[in-house]
Amino acid sequence: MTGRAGARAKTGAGRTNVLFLGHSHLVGLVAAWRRVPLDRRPFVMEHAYLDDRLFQPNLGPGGALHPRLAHLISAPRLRAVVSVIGGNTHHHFGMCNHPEAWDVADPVGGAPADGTPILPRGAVARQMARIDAAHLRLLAALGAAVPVPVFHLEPPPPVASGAHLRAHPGHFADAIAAHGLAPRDRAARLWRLYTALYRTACADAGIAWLACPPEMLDPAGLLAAPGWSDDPTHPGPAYAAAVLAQLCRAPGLATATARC
Amino acid sequence: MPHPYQSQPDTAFWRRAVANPPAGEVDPVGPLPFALGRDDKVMTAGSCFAQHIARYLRREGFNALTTEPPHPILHPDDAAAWNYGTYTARYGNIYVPRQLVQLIRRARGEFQPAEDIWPAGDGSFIDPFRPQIQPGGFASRAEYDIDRAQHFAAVRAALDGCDVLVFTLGLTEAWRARADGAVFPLCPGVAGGAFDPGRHEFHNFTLDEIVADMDEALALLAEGNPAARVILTVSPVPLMATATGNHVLAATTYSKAVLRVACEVLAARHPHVAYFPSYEVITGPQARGRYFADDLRSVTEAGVAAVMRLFFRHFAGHDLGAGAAAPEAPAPDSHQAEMQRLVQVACDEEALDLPAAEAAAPAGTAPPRGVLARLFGRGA
Repeated sequence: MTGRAGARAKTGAGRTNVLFLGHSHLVGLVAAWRRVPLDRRPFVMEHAYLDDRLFQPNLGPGGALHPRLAHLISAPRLRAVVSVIGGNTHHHFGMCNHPEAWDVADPVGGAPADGTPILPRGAVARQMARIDAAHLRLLAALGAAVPVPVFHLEPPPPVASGAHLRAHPGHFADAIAAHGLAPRDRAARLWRLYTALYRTACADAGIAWLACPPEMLDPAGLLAAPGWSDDPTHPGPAYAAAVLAQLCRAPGLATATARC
Repeated sequence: MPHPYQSQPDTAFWRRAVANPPAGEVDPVGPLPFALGRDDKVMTAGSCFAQHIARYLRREGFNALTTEPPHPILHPDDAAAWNYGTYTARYGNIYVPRQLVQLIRRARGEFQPAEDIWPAGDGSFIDPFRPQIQPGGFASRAEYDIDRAQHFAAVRAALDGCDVLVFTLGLTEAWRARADGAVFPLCPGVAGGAFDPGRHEFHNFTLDEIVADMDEALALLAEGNPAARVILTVSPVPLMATATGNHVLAATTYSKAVLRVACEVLAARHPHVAYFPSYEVITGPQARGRYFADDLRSVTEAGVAAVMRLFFRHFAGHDLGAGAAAPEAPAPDSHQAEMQRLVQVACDEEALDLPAAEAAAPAGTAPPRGVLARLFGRGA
């Protein structure tokens, strides 16, 4: 790690806890952590769901962290903070087809092969940033305020299989029936646009970026079968376990006994 | 023996038509060869002053043709920043008639400039012929190519589908490629690209060239749209800078004089072409400079309104601001709103499985800004 993240890499004796802050993607991680045998947990997991009324508003006037959040992040027992802030806005755009078809061209994933009109990538990114403005401000605030290493977990990618999504559409059943499931390559392009936003925000805030576990991805970078669940927007327990294992190996968090 | 001046109307006399009337009542518009209907599809193009025409057309309930509209998911501010709706399509400013000819030919696949993309050095790309159309440039060659193809389709649709083209001539000075004469809207190096005297040259279009280029543009327009009418105006905005070696004021006077004469020649030559004297409304001595901002270059909103008041009165018999309802602001995209709601429902449901968080006592700091400031500016 370099910069601010590196400067916060020091951990002292007695720092036994890691605070996980975030939104719905926090749930799978907490559940996965509870399945790790006690004697194999390298740290104590604390967690705070940021939409909980206890933390509202997350940022007060002038952008100060909610007092309860500020207190949590400054606890001497913390070794690190892990952000699972946001993570699902790309589904607004990439789950179903829009009545006026559109796509983006992607430096990595190319352009739509079916002739769908493209929108300017930068303009779509700005719209995603508008939707996630509060999350991005919070990420910046954490980066400035947290005295120990901060990690942000890359949002999980969309499910690779259209068939799986149609079989497990969750709340999107009617929308998928009405508009059709977006092609997976489009979903991937929009996810990459979204994660780039957060990667930039983390770099600006000195927050370490933890990419998705590669073993959970298919060759196109989408969520492979081991990571699926019956929820179209949240991965399953295997994905959460892989993320935790990767986290435990992260510089600044790993210890000689880390093997979760 | 009576002489010809005795039978002239008051508008033929400076004292009666310009010096005596209150400035706001000076009306230099002469006979026009056609009218503008509220349903006429109006294509707008030209130099920056032409942007106001589309804006007023929409405001007054006229049909400002848009063939490259913003997608509903885009925020209106972002759509504007990406130049949707500035003109009929996202071609940016067109300053000299040769650019218009070039645009038409490129859109029809008849001309492919040798220098047609500028790498920006950060992996992005700039369109030399629309250097400011895409904030941050095009992220990839694929994005550039697809966007340009979409744009050209929109240009063809505009040319073939408009009832009226309003074109504002702005400049005679331009920079072009030595290899094939392709005209750039901005000198390479100003907003992308790199100036190379071996590849780029300055050219100050002459009267004959301006007339010939407009004749060609009119002919190209008529090929696909023989019924299209054309309104020509001359931008009253002075040159930002001149490359002639002359004083910029003298260079401006030359440019505007050439363009004004060209419009007169073209309107006399083509029955379907009208000249509208927006230049005279703004710059005429009756205005006493009141329609220029402090920089003596930008036209004030009062000046734009003065021009458009006469425009609508003479072309459409319409009083500015009277009768027509202003177009409503675009509604938020309902599909997007529904998808956002579904995602939130899914996230809220997922969170039900979490145990309650711990309470804590006060402390806190103020956050810096990062990606939001970069995207939206300091206010973000």
